[in-house]
Amino acid sequence: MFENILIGFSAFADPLVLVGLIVGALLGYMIGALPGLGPSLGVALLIPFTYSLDPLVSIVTLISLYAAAEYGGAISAILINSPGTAAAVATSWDGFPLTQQGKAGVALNISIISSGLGIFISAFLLLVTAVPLSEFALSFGPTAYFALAVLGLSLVSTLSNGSAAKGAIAMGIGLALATVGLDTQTGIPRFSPNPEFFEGFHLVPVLLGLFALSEVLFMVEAGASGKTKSHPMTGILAVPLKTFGQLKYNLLRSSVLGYVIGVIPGAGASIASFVAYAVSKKASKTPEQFGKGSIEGIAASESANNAAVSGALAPLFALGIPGSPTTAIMIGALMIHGIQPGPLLFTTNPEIPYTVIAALWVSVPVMIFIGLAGAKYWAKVADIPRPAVAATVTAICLMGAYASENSMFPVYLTLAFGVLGYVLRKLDIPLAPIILALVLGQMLETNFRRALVISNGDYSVFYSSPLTLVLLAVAVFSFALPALKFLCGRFTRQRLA
Amino acid sequence: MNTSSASPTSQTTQASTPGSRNAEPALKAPAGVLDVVAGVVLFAAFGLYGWYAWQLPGPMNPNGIGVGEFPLIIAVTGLVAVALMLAVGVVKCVRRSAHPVVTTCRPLSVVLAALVLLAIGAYLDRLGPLIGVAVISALTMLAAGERRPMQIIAVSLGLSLGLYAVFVLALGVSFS
Repeated sequence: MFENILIGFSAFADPLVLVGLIVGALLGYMIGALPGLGPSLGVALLIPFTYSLDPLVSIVTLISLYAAAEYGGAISAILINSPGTAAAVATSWDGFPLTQQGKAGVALNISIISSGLGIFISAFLLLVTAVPLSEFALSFGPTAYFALAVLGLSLVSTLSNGSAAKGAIAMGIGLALATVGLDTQTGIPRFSPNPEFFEGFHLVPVLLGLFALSEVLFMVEAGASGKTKSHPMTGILAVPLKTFGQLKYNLLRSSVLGYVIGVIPGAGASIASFVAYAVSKKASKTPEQFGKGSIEGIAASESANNAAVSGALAPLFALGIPGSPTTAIMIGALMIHGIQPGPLLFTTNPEIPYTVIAALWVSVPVMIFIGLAGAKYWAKVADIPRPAVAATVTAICLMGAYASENSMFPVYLTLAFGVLGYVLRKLDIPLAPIILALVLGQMLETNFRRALVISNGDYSVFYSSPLTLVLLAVAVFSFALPALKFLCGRFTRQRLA
Repeated sequence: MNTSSASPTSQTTQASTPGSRNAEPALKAPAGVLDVVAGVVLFAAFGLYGWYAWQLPGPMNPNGIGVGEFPLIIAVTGLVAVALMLAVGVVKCVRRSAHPVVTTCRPLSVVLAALVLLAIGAYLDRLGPLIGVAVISALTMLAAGERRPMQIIAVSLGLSLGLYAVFVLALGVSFS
């Protein structure tokens, strides 16, 4: 393991990898600080720029953006009470009251350093858990892989905004899109009106259309926005080290919680931050301070939501299934570079997961420095006029779609999916399950058919193996996760009452 | 159900700038009616998908399943989900007490933006990256409510030149 870690760190001998990490961090902060643009959209928009880059540089840049966007979400949450990401909602509960008390700098300092520590601790957990998990997964047969894909799809339940039927519709759309093109086993074309569809729907135009272009139409709907009131930031570097000494158990507990919740497909950073916040409040000697500017609340929320980033990477690397919508997009990014995530990744391309783990560690000082030094500038990002953001996103989408295949076909697809995405969001049909199903569709179908061929068409093969049964049981548990969300919602309402 | 806009962006909108145009009347539709209309369209779409799946060839291996069977399972799952959504939509329509409304602000601008995207975006290769990006950026900003000419010109030109430098000069993307 030590040698592999060295392999990971040796990637940074290439200056481009370090440049990618810094650029990713800067972009991530900017995207995270803009309310409405989260890590998923940021990663989707960056993918076209990484086509011609070395796979290691690309992946490090994307991972850095992903982590920094989770950090960045806290900036607008603390300064203008408008969380840049859903995972920063709990941060705003105590961050904004501190800003109102003239302690915005303190809140930002605590959030940035807690985020960094969350990443640092969780990257270590990723290192010690992902490899054994991937070694275990090497023994999986088609039924276990089928069950794994079902487990991955269980993420749909938490992405469905409360309507299971609409989540299932989105999943159906994604799975239907995954069946377009030549059948991988027989070569028979399916649902392909012309040869351009034979290769199926590539992820990039679908992503750019559904996530980015649809957001542009929402920006158009919102119209031009006025400037928000800036708050003075004093004391950002004046937080004494002993403060973090007092928070050490809180930070450790929240990071571990964040990692574990991040590993569960469907849970993700927002649930991690809510749960860590609730646990931290329960364990605190001053629970009455929570919601009024408690630094414990900020530390818990931020360390947990950033630890969930590493958590979501564990199933991606070890099993080939995404732990969050952003990691679903990351699967697409890896595939573009010819890298197949899954248990074999640690054998075929060990430099990828170990470089990512090293990048997570290296990103901590880089992001803390960028975050603290540029805090007042990140705060200004939220002031960028929406029409300018809309124009930028549109232009990147169309150029990115064209660049993905050097042809106009992905541009047409991006435009079509952009309008479709807007309509679906208006109908409250979630978009993330579409991407998830599109990514997992082939794995699901291939292993479903393979298992039936092996068992001579006997469907009992899906419940004859204990491993498959356990995986399916975990999938059922994961489908039931919205109940946890409901409890978190109750906690929120009680807190507000 | 989303009662104003599904986008976090729109939820954070502040007061209008002097140059913006937000006076367009908002379009409002009962959520239940929208669910029913969308349900009918989706039902037809999944039905058509299922019908095509049914037409696909059977299995080559007698123990396996054909290329159409998995899509058929997807179609049935989709149809069941759509039927559920339709039922909920009908209940929402019948229940007059609680009727959430879906609001679309600035509908004309949204339609115009969609048309601009479809019309200009589809000719990106013929217009070329410089002109294409500049035109689409300017029109998107206009549709999004920006009315300050200097802002529009500066952002459009900046984007056009910046993206040209990145994609064409640095990444070698060819538009020929």
